[in-house]
Amino acid sequence: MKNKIKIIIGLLAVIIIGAIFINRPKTDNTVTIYGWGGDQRVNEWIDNELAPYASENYGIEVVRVPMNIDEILMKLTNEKNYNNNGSIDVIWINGENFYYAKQYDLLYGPFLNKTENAQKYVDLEGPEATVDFGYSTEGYEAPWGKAQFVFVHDKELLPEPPKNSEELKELVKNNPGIFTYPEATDFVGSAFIRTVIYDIIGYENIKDLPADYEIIKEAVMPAMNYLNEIKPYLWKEGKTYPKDSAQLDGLYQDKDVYIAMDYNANKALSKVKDKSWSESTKTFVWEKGTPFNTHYLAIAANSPHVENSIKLIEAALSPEMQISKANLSGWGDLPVLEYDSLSVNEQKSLDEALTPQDQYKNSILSYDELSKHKQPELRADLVTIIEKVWEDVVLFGKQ
Amino acid sequence: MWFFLENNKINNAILVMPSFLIVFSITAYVVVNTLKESLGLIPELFLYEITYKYYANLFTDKIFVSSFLYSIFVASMSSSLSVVLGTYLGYAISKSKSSFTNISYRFPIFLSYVAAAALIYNTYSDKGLLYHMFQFIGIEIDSLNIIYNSNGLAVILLNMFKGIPFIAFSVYPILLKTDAAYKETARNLGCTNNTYVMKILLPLCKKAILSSALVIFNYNLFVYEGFYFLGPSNPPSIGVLAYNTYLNPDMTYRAYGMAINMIMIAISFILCFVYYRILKSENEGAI
Repeated sequence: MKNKIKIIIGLLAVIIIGAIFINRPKTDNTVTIYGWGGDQRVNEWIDNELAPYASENYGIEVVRVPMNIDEILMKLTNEKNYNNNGSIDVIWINGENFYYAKQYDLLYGPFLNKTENAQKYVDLEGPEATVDFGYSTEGYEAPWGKAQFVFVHDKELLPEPPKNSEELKELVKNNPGIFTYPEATDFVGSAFIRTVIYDIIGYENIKDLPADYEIIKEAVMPAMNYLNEIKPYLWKEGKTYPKDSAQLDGLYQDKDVYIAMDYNANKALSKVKDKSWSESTKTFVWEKGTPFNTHYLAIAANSPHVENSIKLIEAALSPEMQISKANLSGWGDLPVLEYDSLSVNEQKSLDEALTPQDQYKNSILSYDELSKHKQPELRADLVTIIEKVWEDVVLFGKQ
Repeated sequence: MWFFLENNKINNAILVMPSFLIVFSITAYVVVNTLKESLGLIPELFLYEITYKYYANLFTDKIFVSSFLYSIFVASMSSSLSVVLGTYLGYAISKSKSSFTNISYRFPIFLSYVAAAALIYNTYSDKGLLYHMFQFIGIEIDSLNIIYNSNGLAVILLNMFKGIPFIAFSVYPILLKTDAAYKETARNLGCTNNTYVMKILLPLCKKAILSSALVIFNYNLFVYEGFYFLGPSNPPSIGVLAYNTYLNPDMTYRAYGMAINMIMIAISFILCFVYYRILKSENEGAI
């Protein structure tokens, strides 16, 4: 009899606890931000700068969820039918991921015109606000920051870094094993492949091609042949590639390779500052330039907190946060605000934030130098095809 | 209600029902959803027509075939070596009187696959623990070339690290029962040491060895973490290929990812059936 009572009480307890959790009221001031969590400086900036600022000025509680963008898209797709009851609010996104997310109705919008700070400080007619990897944003994402692909070298190990693909080939052939690049599935690896394409084929000769696998393959084959030619001279004889830029950073730190690369032009400075990389580290770009792009914040189509999401984007676009984000001691991400729209004090603060301390000023290229070498990004659908061609032709050796 | 609680069999069934229902419904949902998406039915991506093209394309795809063969090679090597060494370890432990040994050999079983992969990486990477040990004793090596090795050496080491204690754990209780008196009786009947091991001990453990070998083979065949963290870029294992294909930014590739998953599920079901047959077979192993 005692056992029967225990079983019944147990079952009732499970039902009551379940009911409490299912009907638990959601706090209305929260907002989740999903994005790549692989850079500690970015994570710290969101947690220690953006979240407190948004809480103080907009009364929202920011919850950062680190997740790779491909996994975010998978989650968005799986939750597509959860009307306004998804788990994602704001997404850090750009390029081909935005293109496919918008194509499959995974994003909320248009909302850019509803954000006060975008209207006040961002050039809403300019390419950064209107075009992402060749496709119109149509107000479905707000520009958040700008980035340019750069190479990194240790001038003590490699005094004269290569200025183009030919010099790189000569370098790796004479010094096998000192160079590699991440797989094309990584955004830095993908950007390196485009840099080679720009150098060998030229951006202008690719940008208007139709998104057809065979046409793109034929057009980029000279670059793929080049990558195949240097393959035996890469780290591990090209039999394996770093999975992502973080792994490449580790190889550079261990001096296994002499060149690293990143899509944040200022990352090298913070790596030198925190002693991860040697003080003789310097960034460089190729003569014909490197890809430059804008990254954005978007809102999930089924976000349960659209209003809070817009408030978070307002906070992210405020001059205070854009200046704080640009600070080279922290994230060091280039701002998207129009310089002239800022007050004199804000302009001064931004200049200070973007100026490295004297002892580190040689570690990174100046903004002017980067601007002279910036190349636009290709269309998002072309980028995806190029990544597939690299995988087929270079990684798996299919012709 | 009280009638049910009085009946032992029904009572037991009711007690397992909550956990069984949860496991069964989740598994059924996953299998049905995987099958549906592998046939190209993904309304979220505006794909509404059933097609077998994803399967047809996969079986003619050189990359899929090579990754499948590579996974079979690594899983076979890992599980065979684990079976041989694990059985020997189980035998050695059954003879050991140290309670520390009896507990410590189980440590890798409880360690997660990711943590075990990190341990293997830190030990065998080019600038890892082993490299520094060689340096310390004055042996100069350029590179160990174990991690990311195209023969899957690091993955095999990881699978063995997890598999050997698992096999030992399975055979240990049987070997423990074969005490000195048992061995002495066999000897008196003219049994040599070799014959005792080959004709008596191993047949006794056959069922435990076969069933646990099947479990680790199936796991090693489709495991993702080991290959992802320690394996080469080319060839990818079938698990890594499924993951990368499923997460391609061009979401139409998702159907291919699901077709690979469905093939893995089908093979796992076949291996489950074989496992069930082994368990149902003659009651070998009982002493």
